[in-house]
Amino acid sequence: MSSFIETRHLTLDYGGENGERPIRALSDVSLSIKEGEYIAILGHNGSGKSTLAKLLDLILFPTAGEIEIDGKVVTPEGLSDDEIFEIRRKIGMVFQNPDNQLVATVVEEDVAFGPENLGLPREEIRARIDAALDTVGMREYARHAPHKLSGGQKQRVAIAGVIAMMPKCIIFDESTAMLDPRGRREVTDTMEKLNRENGMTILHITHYMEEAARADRVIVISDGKILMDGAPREVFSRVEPLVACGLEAPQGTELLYELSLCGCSLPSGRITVSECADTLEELLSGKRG
Amino acid sequence: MISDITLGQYFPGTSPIHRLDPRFKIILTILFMVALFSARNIFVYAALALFTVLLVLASRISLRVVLRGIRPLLFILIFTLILHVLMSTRTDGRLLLDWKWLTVYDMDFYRAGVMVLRIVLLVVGTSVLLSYTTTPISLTDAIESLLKPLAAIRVPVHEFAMMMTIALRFIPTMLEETEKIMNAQKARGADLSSGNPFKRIKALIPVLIPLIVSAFQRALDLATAMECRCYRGSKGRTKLVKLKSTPADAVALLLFAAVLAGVYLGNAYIPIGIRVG
Amino acid sequence: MIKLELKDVTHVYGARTPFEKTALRSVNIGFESGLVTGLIGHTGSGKSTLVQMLNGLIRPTKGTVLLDGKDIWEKPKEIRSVRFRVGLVMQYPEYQLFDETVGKDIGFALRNKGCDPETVKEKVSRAAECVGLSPALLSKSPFDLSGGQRRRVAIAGVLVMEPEVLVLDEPAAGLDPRGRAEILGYLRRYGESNGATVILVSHSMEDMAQYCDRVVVMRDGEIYASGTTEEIFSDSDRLIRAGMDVPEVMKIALELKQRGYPLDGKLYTVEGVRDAILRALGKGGNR
Repeated sequence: MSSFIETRHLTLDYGGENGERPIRALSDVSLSIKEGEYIAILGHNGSGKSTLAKLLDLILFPTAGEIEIDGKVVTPEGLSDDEIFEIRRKIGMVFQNPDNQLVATVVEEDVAFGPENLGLPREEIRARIDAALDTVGMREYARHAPHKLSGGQKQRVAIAGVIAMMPKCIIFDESTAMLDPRGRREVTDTMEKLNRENGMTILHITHYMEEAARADRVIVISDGKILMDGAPREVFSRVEPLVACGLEAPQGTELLYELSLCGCSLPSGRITVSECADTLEELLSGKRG
Repeated sequence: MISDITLGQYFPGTSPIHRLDPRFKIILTILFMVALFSARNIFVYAALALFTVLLVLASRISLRVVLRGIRPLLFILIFTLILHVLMSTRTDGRLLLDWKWLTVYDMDFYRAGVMVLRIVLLVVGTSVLLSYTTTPISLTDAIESLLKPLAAIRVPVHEFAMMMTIALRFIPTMLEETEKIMNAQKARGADLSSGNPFKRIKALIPVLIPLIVSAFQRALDLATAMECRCYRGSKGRTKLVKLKSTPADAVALLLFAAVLAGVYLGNAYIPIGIRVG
Repeated sequence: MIKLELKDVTHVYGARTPFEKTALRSVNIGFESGLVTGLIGHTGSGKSTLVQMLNGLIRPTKGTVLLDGKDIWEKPKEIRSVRFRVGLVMQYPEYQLFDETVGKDIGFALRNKGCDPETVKEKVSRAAECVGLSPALLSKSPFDLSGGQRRRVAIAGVLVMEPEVLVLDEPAAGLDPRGRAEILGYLRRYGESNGATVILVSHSMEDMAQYCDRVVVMRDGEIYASGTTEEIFSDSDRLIRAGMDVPEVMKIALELKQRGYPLDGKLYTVEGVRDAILRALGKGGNR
């Protein structure tokens, strides 16, 4: 399958006006994302991961390099308003602060906002609202006021607002960072469902390892560059570079790593609880060591 | 908690007044206000007062709630009363008091009383017709729909309505935020509740600055989020909610028109009673 | 010794209105002097209400709050003096910054207390050092800093009072792993070097396991469990019943125990499980 999003030598500088030296947020990023992939983008605060998201949804335009989205090439020259509109209906964004992305005072009217902007007929909008709220499990809250909902519920409403536009891809820009564990689980469960059942391309920007472990592919960004790109078990078994760029490995992986430092010979690439327990059982029962 | 203060004090319900088309309700309110300010006769006022009570009954909102709504106005009402009695330059009726530049006639009391009644009826009538029985959002939709003809002469009607919607959406959020920031500064020993008025205003700076900074941040975030959801003003935009009027709206309109006509007839043909205004 | 204590505390929001809600129900809890106590519970468990009671931001509907054995509400007019002794850092505290410079903002509490400029200056630089802010930043505007730096400024703005009790509501929320570890490390060190009582609200069981001496679990406005970190984590069933997550490394240890491998020790941290496995292998507890 050909790629849905492809970036070629993507570079972005901030600032640089008034003779100041610009700050390079992204440098020479080339990657390719296929339709239907579930990708986690990991990086510490200020690593450039959110900048990448802003470039993909055309909130920013590259300083150098280009992005190809579904056949349309975005260059530093920018695009016309109509071209931007066409790309944005294919790529939806869910942001970090659940309070700052809901527009309406009633849940279903907020979900309607995107479809209304697309100029869809009323019956179609109605059908899409109901389907979208069903998908995120918020149908019973259709007539509620957003400010009375929990953080996780607000984010699910925001997701419904995006899926009602029927994009091919959704980018979650640290959408779980401000939530409690329950809210985070609600949102990541929804992401997984959208990917597995609706075949939607998911890009999840986060710094929570256990969330990233649920994706099919993990991209680690540090200082504006791609540091690692691979399946979660490949990426997470490289504990040292992860720690060096301000991240951490899941606890199980860290435990195996610590034990191997103490002289136990253990395989790498174990990340889930049961995988780690299996490996340690072999060690304890004397099959290894 | 501060965020539980309901804005516009909407009381959910399904009374005949709740069910009226909000566009009609705005028109009805205007008719009601015109009637109120046209009345020139104490009997006409009495009839309007009766009509207002009927409105309250039809809205099925308890009289206690309605009276509580007047309470904050008490000061203004008393002030109006005193002002009208003392400051009136009319010299009709019986002279009750004549002291230096101050003259008080008994008619002054009638006029002041009518003025107070007018304010009370105005507040009760508009709250029952609009704020108590209409959600802020449908009110916004109604205003947008009523003003739509103005869009032809480039009045930004849609943008105005969108601004109102967003303001309504964010008022509870900002109230919550205010409470949070006040608590944070109190935790750092800020004294927000004592001292003279000047000191108190100065003490609010540590609350206001973070509040304004965060409002700007929210505005930026929201603008980005709206653009990402393909918002580009009213261009090519459809709407989910379509306001629908029913025969009941027409009946209500006729009723209010009849009341207004009654007021004019009453002004002209009721010879007895005291003319005011 | 108990430093701060809630006795039979009940709190009801919006009493006698349709919005009436009981946030805390007959809560009895004491916080040990000089220790780090973790407070954990789901959103809506009453944590935030309890936290705001500790420095007198909320007055309990019923019951008493005792600081060094004295009722903090004895003289309601003097409640402000309690707030200088019990420092509270709220959630996302970076939103409270307002002053022209970082230094002035950190010194806000001391100016409220009426300290002279010399003392303010000295204590501000000490507080900034406590959270690893370089002195060069003190003359900058707080609005020019990064999110992580603003968080530290806000925390320094409370540490500057040198409170005997330091209460923090999710001080590391939204930070990446390194930022998290740094902030929590600074706070633990503040407690140790000042002999202060630290109360840490967190959603993260991993943080509780790593940074706290004692743990209090809240549920539906009541204290569900409290004890030393070891006691709390040794009864993992009780935690799971309360809908709490146990640290991942603990799940692995429990799984191994279930499969018949005897492990003992602090099975709730990576180091603890590592040492337990090494002991089981007969390699001793150390590298």
